[in-house]
Amino acid sequence: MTPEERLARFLEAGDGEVGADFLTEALAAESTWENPSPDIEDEVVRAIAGEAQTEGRLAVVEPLRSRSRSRLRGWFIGVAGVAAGALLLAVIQVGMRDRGIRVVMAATDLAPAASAVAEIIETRNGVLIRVELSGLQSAPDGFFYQGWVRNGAGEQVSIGTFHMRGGGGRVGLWSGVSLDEYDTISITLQEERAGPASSGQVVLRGSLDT
Amino acid sequence: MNEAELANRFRLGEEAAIREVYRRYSGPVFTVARSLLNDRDQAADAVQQTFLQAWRAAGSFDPARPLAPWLYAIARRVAIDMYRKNRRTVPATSNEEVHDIPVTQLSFERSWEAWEIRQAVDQLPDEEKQVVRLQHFEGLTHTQIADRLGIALGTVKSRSHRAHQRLARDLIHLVEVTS
Repeated sequence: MTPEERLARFLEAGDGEVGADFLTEALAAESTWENPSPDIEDEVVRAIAGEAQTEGRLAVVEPLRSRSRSRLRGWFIGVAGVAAGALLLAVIQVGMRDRGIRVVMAATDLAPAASAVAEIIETRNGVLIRVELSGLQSAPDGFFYQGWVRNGAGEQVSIGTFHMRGGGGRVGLWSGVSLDEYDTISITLQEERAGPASSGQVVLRGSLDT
Repeated sequence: MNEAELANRFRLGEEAAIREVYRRYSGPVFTVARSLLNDRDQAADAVQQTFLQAWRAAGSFDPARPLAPWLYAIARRVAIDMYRKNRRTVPATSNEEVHDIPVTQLSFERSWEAWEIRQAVDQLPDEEKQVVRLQHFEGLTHTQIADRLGIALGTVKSRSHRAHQRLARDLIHLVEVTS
């Protein structure tokens, strides 16, 4: 008889001396059979989702540039008023799909009602970043949106511009650089004639880390 | 979904992965917490805290490693911290009767065994698990189990036999049994 067979006989019928009384005691213990109430699972998911949002806020807020801050404030207040206190970055990589990597982009407090999912597709001529947007208002006159990828050293590459004045939906952005070296994708609100640099006014951001 | 993939998706915060990790391990987490804290409500709180703390720490978790020992260590620490915190909050002078929550003196090894036994039980097919529960927890004989479940005695015996073989296979490493 193998040790497993001896243990099975002991557990089932108490036959033999195998030094496993603690196993039968455990099988008779209430704690081996009890379960937490079913609603705990939902509470765990809610708690983690809430914490992800809070952590995102701490991680994402970038300083506003003083030059354009006052001009934009009124517009932002109107947008942000709905969600006082801010709903912010929850950077969630949602994994591979058959066409490419999908990245959930979460809003900053500059556009708390916005959300987006970016699908990153490698093509022969560049990287297509197809962004499905919702809740992002059209850019005010004199402003536009710009997509960026950014690496850990703070280096940014523009991936295109758009304005959302057609009512929202999907926009296509392109990157001429491989995204392997970049860990963040973001969308900023830019002011026309303010130069090519990022304004720092991030409205959406997602993680490219895999 | 294998463990490494599950761990990676849990680390990334995917809801489906969080739910799957919870469903696989909430039983053992609850068993450990319940074994250390003789209080069902406190144990339920410990379950919630364990998964939240696991998610917080998941960034430093190597998905190539098994989830169970890592979650076990978190669960045990959470339960012990909860016990200590409860003791500190007991007022020094109180006219009311205070129900302190006693923490049992389970060693690290014993509480890990409790975890493994719970995991082995949870992995049994439902009909076998039911028979094992009635036999060990409720103390019924095979004949009584057959009556309770309204099934043939032979069916109870075969389910019991298969279940205990599975348990022996999964738990043999915990005991020293010679051939």
